Amino acid sequence: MKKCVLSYLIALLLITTQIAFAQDVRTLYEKVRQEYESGNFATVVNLCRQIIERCEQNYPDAECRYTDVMKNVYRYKGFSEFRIFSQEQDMDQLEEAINSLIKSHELYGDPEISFNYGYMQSLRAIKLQNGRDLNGLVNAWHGILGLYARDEWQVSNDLLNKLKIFIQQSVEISITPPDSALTTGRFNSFIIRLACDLARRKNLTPADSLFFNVYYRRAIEDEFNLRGNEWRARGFEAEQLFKNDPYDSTYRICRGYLELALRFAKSTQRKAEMLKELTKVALYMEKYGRNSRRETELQYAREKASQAYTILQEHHSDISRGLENEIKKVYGNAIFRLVDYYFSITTSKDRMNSFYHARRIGEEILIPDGNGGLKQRFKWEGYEDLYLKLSDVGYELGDEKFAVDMVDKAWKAVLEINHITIPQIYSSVNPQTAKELLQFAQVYQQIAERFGLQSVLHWLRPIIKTLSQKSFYTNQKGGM
Amino acid sequence: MRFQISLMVIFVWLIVTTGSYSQSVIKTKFEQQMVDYETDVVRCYNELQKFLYQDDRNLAEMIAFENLLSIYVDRILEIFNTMERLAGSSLETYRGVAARALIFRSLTYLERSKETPENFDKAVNDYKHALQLYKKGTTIPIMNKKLPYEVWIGRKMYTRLADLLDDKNKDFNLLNSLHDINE
Repeated sequence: MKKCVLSYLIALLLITTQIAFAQDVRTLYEKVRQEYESGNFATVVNLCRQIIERCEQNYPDAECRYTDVMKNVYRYKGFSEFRIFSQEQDMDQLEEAINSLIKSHELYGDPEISFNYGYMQSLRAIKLQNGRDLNGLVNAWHGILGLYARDEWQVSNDLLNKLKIFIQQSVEISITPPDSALTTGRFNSFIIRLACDLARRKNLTPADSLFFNVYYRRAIEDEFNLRGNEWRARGFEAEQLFKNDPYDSTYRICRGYLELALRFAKSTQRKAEMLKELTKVALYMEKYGRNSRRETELQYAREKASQAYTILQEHHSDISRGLENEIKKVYGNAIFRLVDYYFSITTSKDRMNSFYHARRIGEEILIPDGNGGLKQRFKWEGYEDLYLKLSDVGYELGDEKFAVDMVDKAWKAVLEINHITIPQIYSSVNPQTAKELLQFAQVYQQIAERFGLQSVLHWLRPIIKTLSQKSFYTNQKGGM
Repeated sequence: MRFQISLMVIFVWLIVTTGSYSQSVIKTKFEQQMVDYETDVVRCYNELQKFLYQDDRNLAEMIAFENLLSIYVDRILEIFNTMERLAGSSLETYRGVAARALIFRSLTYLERSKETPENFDKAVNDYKHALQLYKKGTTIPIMNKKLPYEVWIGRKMYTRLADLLDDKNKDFNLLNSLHDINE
């Protein structure tokens, strides 16, 4: 009985195999087309393999000699394998898809296919983090030029979309892998310029025009440094997200991108800019971030700002005036905020140590003024506040010379900023300015009283009286 | 009858002129594309030189530049061959474009001949091809003819291919000797 069943099964298997093999290439090809249209990609791959196997036999069908059929068999196979890869993310499928499309291209030379397998090769390079593999870009560009020639050297909408895909992939490869530069990025930068030039031969919509202009600029800025420019662009984008949502996670991403932009920056201007941006981000995190580690962020900001300032000093001529002012501002701000931080740790067991710490931080940007005192190395927006804060520190430390020097500088600075002289205080000072000046004058008075500076108190008292009256008027007006 | 004959003559004349007109439009388009592609070849070559001049030699990028330039040269040759088949008229200008493109590719191949010895064969083939192309009915050799554009290597500008070749190393001089043999 057993033998009977076994022989029956073998016979059945043989018949089935024969039926399967009996299908000619034409029938299989028709099935491939139908299955591809139905979206049964695994079946398509299977059927294409059957066709290829049949064509490799000694006496193949006539269709095997038709280029048109065979290039489509490989094309269907390649695209189906790619669809399977998209679902399963199996790199072997991607490899198969690339090989199939290369075979199809060898048979016919369709530029569309060349673009597609170039795209897949670039995708493979990105997935495998192999930024050195530039073959995909070259093959895709080959396809693009072929399509351009096929459309009688006109840029069609389809070609425009392909150019966009191409540019985005080039950028992605230029930053792959992010932790080590395997290429200089010069080729990617060049090919993006070529792609943008080609796209601009068409009358572009404003949105498309913006797209290509942005990428062209990214490709040429900072000595054609596409990699650095891309990290910078991503850094700025992440900075916006971080400001909208100042959590540790968004902060880490933003800082990571900006640090990469700094690492790959080529020009000194760009390095200084990225250091300034890192300082800004850290200061923002310290001020608005949720669960921020204040001291760590401030120290980080101070370090980056100090590096930016060193670059500014060493390569002053390479740095624009606007950036110079910004660097000074963030450096001064970082120092001010750190001084304020140490000054305000009142719960500390060793308050004096904190005050000394604050003073040492402040002294980082102080230099001798030539009259036995100290002055800030540069003027920045808010430099008067740092003098005032340092005078507070001097007051708490009981250091008369330092406190008086600082408060005097603070007073002069606030007058200079408001473009006002002492006689004008009695006549033409507006209430808002009066309020601001009063704050400085009161600290000055406090310090003068503590250290018994009678002569200072003598000229300060009438000023404080006048400022109080004028600012009181402001308060009243505000209250009304 | 006369009227019919005149109509027929006009009809034939129209066919002939329309045909020659469309042919000249195609030719103009081809010519324009050849010139455009040559511009891209030179851009590509200049970019490669900048890259060699400023950065360390990165093989992956050098190959990519080489392949890219090769794509453009192939397209130029393709158009040139089509034009040669289409037109019986003089193609001297476009023969020059094709020859120059081939020489640029040959020079590009030589940049990597140390790493890939077969590049030298490719360079020699392109160079020979260029010389053969340009030999047909020209007085000044392609190498000595003034270029219609400038080529920059580092801070040096070149306006003749011969000068460019002279400034390169011994592999390039080998090509130069090949030039002498051909002469």
